[in-house]
Amino acid sequence: GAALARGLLGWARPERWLPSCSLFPLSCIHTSTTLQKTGKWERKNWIVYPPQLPGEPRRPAEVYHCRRDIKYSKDKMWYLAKLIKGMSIDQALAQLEFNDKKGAKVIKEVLLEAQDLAVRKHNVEFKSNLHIAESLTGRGRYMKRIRYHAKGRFGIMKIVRCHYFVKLVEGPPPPPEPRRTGFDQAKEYVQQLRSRTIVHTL
Amino acid sequence: LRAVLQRCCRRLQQGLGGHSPPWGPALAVQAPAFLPHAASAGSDSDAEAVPGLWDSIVWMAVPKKRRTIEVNRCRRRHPSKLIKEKRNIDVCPECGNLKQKHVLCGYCYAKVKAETRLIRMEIGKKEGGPFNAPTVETVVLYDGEKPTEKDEGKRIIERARKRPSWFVQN
Repeated sequence: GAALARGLLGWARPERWLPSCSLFPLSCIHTSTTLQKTGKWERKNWIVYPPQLPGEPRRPAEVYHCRRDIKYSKDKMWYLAKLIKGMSIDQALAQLEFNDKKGAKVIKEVLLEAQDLAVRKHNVEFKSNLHIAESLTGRGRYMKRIRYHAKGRFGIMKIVRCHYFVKLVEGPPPPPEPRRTGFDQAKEYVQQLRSRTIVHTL
Repeated sequence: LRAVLQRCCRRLQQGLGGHSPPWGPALAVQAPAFLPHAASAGSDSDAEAVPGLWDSIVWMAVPKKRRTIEVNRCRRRHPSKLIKEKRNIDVCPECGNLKQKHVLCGYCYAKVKAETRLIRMEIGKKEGGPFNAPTVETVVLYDGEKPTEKDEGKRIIERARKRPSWFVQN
């Protein structure tokens, strides 16, 4: 009992709560609340680029959004994330609306929130002119519980949660890459053969 | 400050000493799982006549090697397992929401369902109880509508609102 309590406290570690209030010279770092850190994905929205020079091509607007600790499996969520990767936001919303999975509803909410954010805060002109550049899932915090079996046996089950990350970029979706045909592979092979040299000679 | 934190630590420890972490009962459950084995081993020490689970394990199908993550990924990401894109999504001409081609528009269906529920409530109020349905037809009339000659013998249900555009009269 005592050892378990010590193990639990080893996880809690209140000595680490102090650094959250320490002062940093940079003003843009937000002081976090106890045990709540702004994740790396949320911080990607805070970068500010210097104004573009007149000759530079226009940098498209990017919005990073995520939802943490969704009660769903990261492997099951990955299939949905893979489905909408590279689609325009309207197409993605249409596909998710008619998908029967639990994660589809969650991702749809996240996409609508991100679209709203883009239009309000990130200087995006048309809400349909967005496409999904990146869509990822990550593992959330798992909890372990006992699953009771017959004859006094037990198993340890994991209560699984996941995070979902999405990056919307302004502009039409990029055209899909043409598939590598046999002819392309043969051409590359011949090129490799031609570029061989004899080593340690003139 | 460090001393204060250490004191808090100790107080938490004392507070949590009685509490077991969520998988604490595992310790309690382990005992009954092991005890029957110990008891049976003690009683059947002479002859292992009882064919327990341990014998049948010998000829069970069992994986020989751990499946590597590369093999697992090939199986999980095979195109047959990926979700296919649906190409049968259109726009409903009535409300502008998305709908599948072979399915009724969800928004329009919900709208009609809500109105039908209110009409049925009116019918319920008129009938007053179960098994009071009349043997004549029913006509629903909205604000400012009078029953025509065709609605002579029919039961009339009044709804106190403007006629919805999708509910065509006669």
